[in-house]
Amino acid sequence: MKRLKIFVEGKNDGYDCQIIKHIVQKIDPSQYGIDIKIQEVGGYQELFSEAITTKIKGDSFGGMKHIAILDADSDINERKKYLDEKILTDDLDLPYFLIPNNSESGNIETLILNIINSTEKDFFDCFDSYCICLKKCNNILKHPGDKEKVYAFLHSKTDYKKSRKIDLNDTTIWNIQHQDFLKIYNFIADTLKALSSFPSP
Amino acid sequence: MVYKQITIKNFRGIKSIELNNLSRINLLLGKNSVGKSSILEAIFLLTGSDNPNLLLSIDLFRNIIHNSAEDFAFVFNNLNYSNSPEISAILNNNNDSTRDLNIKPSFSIGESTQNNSKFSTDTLIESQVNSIDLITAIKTKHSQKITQKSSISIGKNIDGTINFNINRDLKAKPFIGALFDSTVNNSSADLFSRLNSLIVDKKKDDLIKSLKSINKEIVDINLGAGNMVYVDLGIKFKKLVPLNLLGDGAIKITKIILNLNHIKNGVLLIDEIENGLHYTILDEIWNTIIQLSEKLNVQLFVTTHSKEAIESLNRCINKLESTKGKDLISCYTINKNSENEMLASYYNVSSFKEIVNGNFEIRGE
Repeated sequence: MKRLKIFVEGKNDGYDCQIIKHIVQKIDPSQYGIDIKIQEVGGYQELFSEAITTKIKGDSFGGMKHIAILDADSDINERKKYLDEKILTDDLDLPYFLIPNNSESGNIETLILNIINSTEKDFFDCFDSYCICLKKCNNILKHPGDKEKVYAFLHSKTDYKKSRKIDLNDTTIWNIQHQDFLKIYNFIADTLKALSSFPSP
Repeated sequence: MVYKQITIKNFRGIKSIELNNLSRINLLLGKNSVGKSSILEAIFLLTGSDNPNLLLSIDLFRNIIHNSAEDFAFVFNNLNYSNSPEISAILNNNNDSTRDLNIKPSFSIGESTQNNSKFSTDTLIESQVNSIDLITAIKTKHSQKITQKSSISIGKNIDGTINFNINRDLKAKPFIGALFDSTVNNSSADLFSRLNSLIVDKKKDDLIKSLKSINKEIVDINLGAGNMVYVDLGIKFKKLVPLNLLGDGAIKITKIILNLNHIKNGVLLIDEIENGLHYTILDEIWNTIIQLSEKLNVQLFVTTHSKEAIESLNRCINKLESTKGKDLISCYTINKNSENEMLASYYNVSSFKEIVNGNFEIRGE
C-alpha cells in the first residue's frame, strides 16, 4: 500500500490536526489505495531538525511520500522563503501548503474564523465589543488575539476545554464550502490523486 | 569498542549497506525482512572470520541445517554465487585499521577445482560448489596488508550425505571474540560453563541482582549436575529450583549477563532483545547492558521490533549523566526501496531522544 505522511504544526491533537483528519476522512484515502498518517511536529522549525530530516529521508527511501500543512503566520512570503531554502538545503521532497489559503498570511485561527458560519456573527460582535471595552479600561487587553477569540467561541459551543474536539460535521457552525477550506481539501486530494497514479513501491 | 564503521555487500538479502558512526551500543530497527538479522550475521562472520564453522552456525541460528552444497548459496546475494559477499570494517583504534572479509566459492570442474573468478558462474550449476573460502585482509595504517584464508570444503559420504572439512589458517592470530545471542542458540552447556566462569571470578552478584528484577525471591544461583543451572528461592523452598522453571525472562537476562562477561573486549550480537521479556524488566536489562558493556568493554549490536524496548532504552539514557549518555548509542533504522536497495538512517543519542520523545515512529514505517 502506498503511504503518505502529512506533517502539521500543532501538538496534542491541535486544531490543524483535527481539521486535516476531517478532510482525510472525507476524502477516504482507501479509494486511492493510500495509507495516510498525520504527524504533529510542534512547530515549523522542528520539521527541519537533524532527527526529523533523517527520518523523512529514510522513510522517503522506503517509498513514503510527505507533505506539510503549516501556518503562513505574519508574512507568507518570508515563510515560503524559509521553507524553500530549508527544503533545498536538506534535499527533501516536501510539498507544502500554508494556512489559511496558501496565498495570504495567517494561521490556523485565521482559517477557523474564516470557516465559521455567518450565523454566528452575534458571538463575534459581542467578543469584539468586549475587547474594545477591555482596551478602554486602562488598556488591560494588550494582545487581543484570534487564539482567544477562537477558544472562547469553541468553548461556548462545545465545552471545548473538556472535549478538545471540533466537530466539522456540524454545518450549523461550520461552512466547509468556504474557499479557504476547499483549497486545503484540494491540496490533499490532488496529492492523493498524483500519488495513486504512481506505481506502488 | 571494536568497530567504528561497517560496510556489507552482497550478503544474503543485502546488496549494500553502510553503518557509520558506530557506538558502544548499536540499535538496529526496521520492518520484517529488511535485513537486520543479516547485518548481525555479517558482523559475526567478520569478527570470527578465521572460523569457517560460523558459515554453518549462522544458518543454524535460522534453523537451517545444511543438507547439500547448494545450501551455502544462502549467504550469497540473490542466492547467486557470482555475488561474493564482502564485509568490511574500520576498527575503533588509533591507527585506522581495517578488516575485510571476502567470501568466495570454489567449483569443481571435472577433476579440477577452480576459483570462481576464472569462470562465468552463471553457467555453473550450484551442486558444483566444493568449498567456500573466507579471505580476511587486515591492514593497519603503517603496515602492509596481511591476508589469511580459511575454508570449508564440502565432501560426500558413501551414503550420499555431505560432510564438511574445516581448513583454518593456523598462522592467523585470533581477532576478538563475538557472541551471537538469538532465540535458537546458546546451549545449556554454554550457559553452564559461562556461569562457572562467573562464579570462579566471584562476579555472580550482578547476575543475582538482575535476576531479582524478575523474581525478588532469588537469593543465589548455582551449578548442578548435567549442565543444569539452579536458583535458590530462599527458605520457602527446601530445594534449589532449575533456572529454566523460572521462564524465558530469567533465562534471557542470565544469558545476556553471562554473554557480556564471557565476551569481554569483544562484540555481542543480540537478535530481538525483547523476546521472552515482560516490559517491566526492560529497564533492568538496559541498565545492566549499559553498565556491563562499559565495564567489560563490549560493543553491542541489538535488533528489536519492540516500541517498549526502545522507550525503555530512552528512559535509561535519560537517567544517565549527560556526558556518559552522549555517545553511548547509535540507532539505525533500516529501509529498503523497491529495487531492494537499503539505507541505514543514523540517529545519534540526541536525535534518538528527539524522535522517541516526539512520538515519531523510529522503527520504520
